[in-house]
Amino acid sequence: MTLRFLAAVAAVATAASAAAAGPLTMTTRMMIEKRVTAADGSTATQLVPANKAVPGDRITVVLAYRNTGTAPIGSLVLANPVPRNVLYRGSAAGSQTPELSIDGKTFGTLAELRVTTPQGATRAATASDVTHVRWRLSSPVAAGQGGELAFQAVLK
Amino acid sequence: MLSLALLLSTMANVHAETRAGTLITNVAATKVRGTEGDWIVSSNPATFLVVERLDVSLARIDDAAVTVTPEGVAIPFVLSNGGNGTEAFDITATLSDPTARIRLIAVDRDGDGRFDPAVDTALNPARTPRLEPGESLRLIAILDPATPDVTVAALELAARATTGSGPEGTVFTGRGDAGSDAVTGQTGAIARLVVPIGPGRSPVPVLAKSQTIRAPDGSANPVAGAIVTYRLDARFAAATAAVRIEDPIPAGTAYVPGSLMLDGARLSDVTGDDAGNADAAGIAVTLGDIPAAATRIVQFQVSIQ
Repeated sequence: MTLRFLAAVAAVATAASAAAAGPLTMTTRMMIEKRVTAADGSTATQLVPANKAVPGDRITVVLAYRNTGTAPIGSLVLANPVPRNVLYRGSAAGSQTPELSIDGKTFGTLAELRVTTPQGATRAATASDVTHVRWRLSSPVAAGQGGELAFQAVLK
Repeated sequence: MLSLALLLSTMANVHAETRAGTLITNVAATKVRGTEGDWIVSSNPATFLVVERLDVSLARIDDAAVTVTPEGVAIPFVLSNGGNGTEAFDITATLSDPTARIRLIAVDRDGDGRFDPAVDTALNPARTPRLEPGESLRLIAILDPATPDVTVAALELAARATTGSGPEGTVFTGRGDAGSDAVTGQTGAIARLVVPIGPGRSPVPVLAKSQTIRAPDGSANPVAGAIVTYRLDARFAAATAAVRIEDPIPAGTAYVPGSLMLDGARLSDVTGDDAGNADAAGIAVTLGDIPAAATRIVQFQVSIQ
């Protein structure tokens, strides 16, 4: 397996293009739930690409990955810090459920996480406390294959 | 029939909202375990801009009876920027008849409810300074008699966002903070306040709406699944005939069946069996004739979709 180190990529990446020239590419996009009213008065929810949003809008953060190399890639851990001013709400339908963290270090289910209050006490973590999500892929990604992962959030 | 249909349905800023013009950026990273160690691959940054939502509310500071005296009377009120951007507001004041006139609208800098030219600032034109998100400004309107016999029954105040106003969802492209778009919120970026005036007669009932939010996580964040309890305080300063209170269910929310209450007693959602009825479109409570000064309280709940 050959993998080139791509630490500098984040600084030069543009919003429109996937940021990798190596065998693994990752592309993220944010979608917003828009409620649209049909002619018969019924309403439905559509996901549209987010280029603007108002506080309270529901956002789906999507992460697409693909192995563009010729060998399988194993032990993939895809991590996504929850953007500032965005509150985690839950796993998106159809996506593998992510592991959650409130400090970027310890990951688990929400029920396993506890928040230390300024007074030194602890309380159960809520979805709004989540600062990072990550997905650990259980099987290697074959050459030419990829997938999508997603979580739901809301703009504060 | 007097219908008090509430147009002002304020989703108050119960939490710190993201300011208009903020860029929200998402970057993901992958850790790949290779034979020579771990490699980090980063994604592209996905970004969007936070739009300026325009909302405003007006409220009286007290419920004191207002009489226009020969030396003039000051009416204190408060304007709140309910949006997530900095915004100035134009204020208009209208009297129900020309027997009195509006001397000025001023910022009540010392908050004493009176106009002191040495301290308070008259607004001419009646435009507020730019207010921060959630900021409130105390104001006063001063009325003088225009004729010996003042018969004015009400002062109507209105405040309108200078960026623009209109039905919820009206967009002003590129006119929000930091180049963002601006869009009107549930108030339509316009607020109205009617102040009854006159000794012993107060024909204009006051309907005040407030809300509390309870989210599934126990917080007061207005997120999907949160229950909003609305409370309508209908204050009648005098006998009032054939009163009916109506309030539409705000867009993006759903009425919680069976949640309609009048003065603490539950009403059914069905039309005709009691004073209230409710459906997906709105609630209505028929109070009928109010014989004397009274306050009636209507409550109902919606869930945020």
